[in-house]
Amino acid sequence: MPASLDMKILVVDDHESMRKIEKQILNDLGYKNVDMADDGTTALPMLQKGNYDFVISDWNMPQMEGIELLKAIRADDRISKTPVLLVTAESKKEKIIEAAQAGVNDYVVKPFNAEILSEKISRIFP
Amino acid sequence: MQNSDETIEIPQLMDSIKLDGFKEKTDQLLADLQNNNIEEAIKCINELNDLNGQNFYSVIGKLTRGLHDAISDLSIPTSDIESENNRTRSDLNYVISLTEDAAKKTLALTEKAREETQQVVQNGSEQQDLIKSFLAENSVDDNTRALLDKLSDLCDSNDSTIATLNSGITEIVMAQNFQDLASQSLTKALNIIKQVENSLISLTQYANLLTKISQFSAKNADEMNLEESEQLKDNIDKFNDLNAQEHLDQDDVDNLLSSLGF
Repeated sequence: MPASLDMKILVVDDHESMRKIEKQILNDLGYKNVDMADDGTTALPMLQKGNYDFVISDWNMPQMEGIELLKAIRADDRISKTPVLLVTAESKKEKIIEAAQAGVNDYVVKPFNAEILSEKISRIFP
Repeated sequence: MQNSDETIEIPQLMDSIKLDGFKEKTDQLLADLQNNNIEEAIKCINELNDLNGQNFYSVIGKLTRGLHDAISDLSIPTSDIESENNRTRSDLNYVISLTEDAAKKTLALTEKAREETQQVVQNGSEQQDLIKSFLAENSVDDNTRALLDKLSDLCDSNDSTIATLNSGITEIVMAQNFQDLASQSLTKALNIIKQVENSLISLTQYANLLTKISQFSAKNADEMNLEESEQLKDNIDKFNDLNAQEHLDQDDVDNLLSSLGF
């Protein structure tokens, strides 16, 4: 199902600057309904209550890493089908494999730009 | 702060190795073996092992001191001078927070710039609507029509300029990507350096205590006097306590290394 510009997106990153960058890029791409969380522990309850259509998450976060958030999402029947894109500096092969096995929809290695993000969204929402 | 032309001195580790005692003891060992003086030969071997241990301890200690001083030299002076005699220093974490603050400030300014450009676009759109509406409701002469057409063209030109401006703002936003990666890389580097330093400190402490304990290795318990027995017990207790040692800060490390002679 193609991405709707109205879809509700949650951006999760412990760096405030990265959250703002990703939000601005999404806004530029036309996605205006974007919320932010600073860690997996903050994001999970938001996802459980908030009817989000898409999650973009960093990997390395202090309390709950992105991979743990992904596993928690997939383990929760209410939100298990939510598409998740990991946007992270982790480029090691074993990390990518771990993310794939945990059920990630796609993976972007930092640094990235609007074009890459747009392409990934198109692949997740064909 | 170190400028790009200065280098941080690495201790000449080989200078700390004492070879003089080795030659003398080795010659003595050879002589004892040739004379079939096994007891003295074993004593020589033990003394050679002690010398070896002391050299190892000395090299490790110098290496640890060198690393610790190098870490201290990574400190960055700030521009705040709290008093005449006290200049505030900070470490790489300060650099990380500086870059984070700069990125946040830049992003806040770009957000504000975006709001302004959106306002300009909106104003331009309203102007176009007013011009169209005026022309629709009023008959105007050719000069006035020409003037209004020119105003409309200027609005279109502004839209094009704003689009270019927004594109530039997006580039500025994307350029802040560096901060996150730089911060993560610096943090990883700092953690690795700290782990290496902690390992070397532990090794130095173990080597120090082993050196002290080994001084009694040639003696049996009944050959030691009371003071020697207590010293041995004290060093063994300290050796066992090393595993439970709490994390040391930079000043603790400095004091510890100084107390061990480095």
